[in-house]
Amino acid sequence: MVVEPNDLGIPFLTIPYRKINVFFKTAPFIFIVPLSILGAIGLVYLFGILAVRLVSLLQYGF
Amino acid sequence: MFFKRSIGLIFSPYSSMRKISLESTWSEYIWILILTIIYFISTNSVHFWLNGLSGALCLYGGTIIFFSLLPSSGTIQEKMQRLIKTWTYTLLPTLIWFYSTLFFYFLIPPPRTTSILGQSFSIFYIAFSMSLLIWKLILTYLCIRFSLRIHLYRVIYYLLIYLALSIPLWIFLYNMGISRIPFV
Repeated sequence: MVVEPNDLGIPFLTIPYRKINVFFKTAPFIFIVPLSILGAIGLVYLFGILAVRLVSLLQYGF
Repeated sequence: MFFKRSIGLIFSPYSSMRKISLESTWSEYIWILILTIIYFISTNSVHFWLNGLSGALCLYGGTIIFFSLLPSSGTIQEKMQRLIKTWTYTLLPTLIWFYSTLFFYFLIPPPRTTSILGQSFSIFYIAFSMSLLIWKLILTYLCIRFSLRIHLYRVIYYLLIYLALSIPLWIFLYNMGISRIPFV
């Protein structure tokens, strides 16, 4: 074994951590893509022109 | 092997990163280096590529040295070898983001507007960038966990120290005109 399994100290944290962790160990994009789309829609809806300016800033970012 | 591992990092990042930390060969990293050099040369018309490439190499080297020196299991040399293997693969989302940004810059040049098309593209671009950022965070976490062989709390603690030191450096690089978005 390369590393010991994570133990967050209290079962209240360790149990949900292990349940969530499973989704990120295999095929994380199944969750990442919908989360990102929802996040992006939320950002544009909440911040409007600021979000659009952020995109312009990032596009000049390379 | 490089492409097999890259696909593995998309579909099963945990087991792929663990394998990379244990058994990858040095010849695999040449692809990342070639892609990085091609990227900076292709931005030649926009920025002075040598500045960008040297900035990226300094950030890469500095990151590996920084994490190698932090207390964890193994000697500094062992940690450095593992970090070179794993950290190089965490540059995959970075490369994909920079290449696609370059592509979109010429396909749909900024600035964006608040028209329906502008907002739609903004949603797409933010979602795309967020996806790659989350993937990058997952790979970074796994890289530090398997290279330094430490637990979650200590990974978070080390990452916070890293960010506290890196953010002023990124601002310095921005002010010097070397890179607007840090190549990490």
